[in-house]
Amino acid sequence: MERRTNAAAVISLGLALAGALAAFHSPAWAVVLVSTAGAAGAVTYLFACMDMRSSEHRAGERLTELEARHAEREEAARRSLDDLREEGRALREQMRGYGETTRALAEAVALIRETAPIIEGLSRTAIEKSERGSTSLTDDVYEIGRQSTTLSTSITGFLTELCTGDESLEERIADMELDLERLSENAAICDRTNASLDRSIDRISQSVGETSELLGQVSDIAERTSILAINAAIYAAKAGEFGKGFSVIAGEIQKLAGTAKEVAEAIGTNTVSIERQVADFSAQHHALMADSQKNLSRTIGSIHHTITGLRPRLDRIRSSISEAARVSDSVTSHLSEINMAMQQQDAIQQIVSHISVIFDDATARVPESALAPLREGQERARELARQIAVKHFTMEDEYLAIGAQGYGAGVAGRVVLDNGVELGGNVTLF
Amino acid sequence: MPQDQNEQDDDLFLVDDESGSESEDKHLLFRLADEEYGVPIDRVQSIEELQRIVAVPDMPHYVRGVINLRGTVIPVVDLRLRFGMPARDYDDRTCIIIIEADSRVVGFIVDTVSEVHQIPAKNIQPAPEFRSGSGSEQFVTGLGTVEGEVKILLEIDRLMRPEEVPEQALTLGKAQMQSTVAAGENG
Repeated sequence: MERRTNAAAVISLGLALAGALAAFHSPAWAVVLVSTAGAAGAVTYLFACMDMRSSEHRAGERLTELEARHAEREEAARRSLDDLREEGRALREQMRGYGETTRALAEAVALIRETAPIIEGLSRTAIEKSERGSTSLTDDVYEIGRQSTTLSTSITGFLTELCTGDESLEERIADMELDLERLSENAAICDRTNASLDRSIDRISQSVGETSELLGQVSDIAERTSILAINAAIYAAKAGEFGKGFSVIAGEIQKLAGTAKEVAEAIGTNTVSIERQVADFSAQHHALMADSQKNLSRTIGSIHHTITGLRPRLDRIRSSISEAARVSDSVTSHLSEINMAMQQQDAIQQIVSHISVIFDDATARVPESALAPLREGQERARELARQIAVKHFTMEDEYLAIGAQGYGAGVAGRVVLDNGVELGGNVTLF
Repeated sequence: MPQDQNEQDDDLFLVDDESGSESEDKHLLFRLADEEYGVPIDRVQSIEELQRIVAVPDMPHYVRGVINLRGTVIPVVDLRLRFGMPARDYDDRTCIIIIEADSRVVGFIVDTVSEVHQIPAKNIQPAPEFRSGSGSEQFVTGLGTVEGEVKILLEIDRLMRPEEVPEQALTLGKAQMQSTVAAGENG
């Protein structure tokens, strides 16, 4: 472009020089040369214009390029600035976090210091209680052992006595069996007596029947005698005066016949009465005997049942004796286990005591400077200690260990601390 | 024996100071159902125990048959049936009263014979007028009182009439009795 402009200028300049020279020589040539020079200048101008325009264009492109580069750099710078700000903020956060941690640590330390006496008190209470309980438990265990042995001996002695000896259950059962046999014999005798009585009653009935028959004959004789007497009276009447004496005899005979008949009837009535009484007696006796037999057989059954029931019981008692001895041994072994457990409890007491000592030692080693980040730490620690107590402590001993007063004996309900904080308790010692 | 006892005996058995009327006053008392009846003793031949009665056909229902009384055949009449009373099974107290009148002898079956007792005429009242004519009333002559109890006294003649005891009872009875005896001997 530039080269082209330079060429155009050179041509224009040459042409202008040529025109000036030609004007001296000939105007025509001058005009031609000037025209040519003008033309050449115009062309040169045109070229120059074209170059100008091209340069202008390139300059614009360059400018745009520069502007874009500038914007890029500006953006990068802004980004760096943001990053820096972010980092600063993070750093500030971190710093603040460290402060919180330090503060929390200080709080924890203060809390530990604050709770140290409580823990010590609780440990002491636990140890005291444990010792007291342990002592009492030892006494109780020995007492249980002693009583158990006494009881076992007593039961074994009683059961042994029950099983052996003159007055033993076995002897009694044997006696009862003997009684049962005698009772059965008596029942058999009773049966035989009954049969004998029945036979006697049958014989009585038979005799009464025979007597009735005889009485019938007597009545018949009386009847016939009576008829005979009447006939005699008839004949006597017909004989008139001569039959007078005979009629008296006939009358007497009739009277005797009547008397005989009455007596026979009376005897018959008595006999019937005897028969009825015998029958009544027999019926009553039978009913009575049936009742007695029933009772007797029930009694025999009952005794038999008792004996049958007692035999296995006796065996069970025998097995109970060995069982009692076994239980006694078992109790002894359990008691020695309890003794072992008590020794373990003693060990636990010592361990708790050691923990308390170690904790005290650890607490004492916490420097005062650790509390520096938390000037108001004491108050905060106390508050935390109270909150922990409210959350976990439920027993009067715990309340006493942290210096609180219960509402009364047995700690059901709520407890108020010295500073007015209420503790919820729900455990009652039995 | 005390005096009153003797008197009672006399009262019972014809021993009477008024001899001659004693036989007429004496009555044989017998029982039919719930009542006691009496017949004059001078018409009574004897009292017999019940014995085998041979039935005779074509007779009134109250003629039970005939008996053989020591060789004499006697027709027997059941007084219960004759008086229209319900029949009763005979037992060991049942008796036959043998009565004789006008050479006719008839036996009357009664429940039982009680006694022979004197009933003075002053103790006998006439029978009531309202007789029905069919039962025992037509045979009643009077009502006698003995120790406060009333006995019905019967008229023998009326009982003995041939229409009461037909004549053929005797003849038929005789024939049958003989054949029965013959059969018994043959058997």
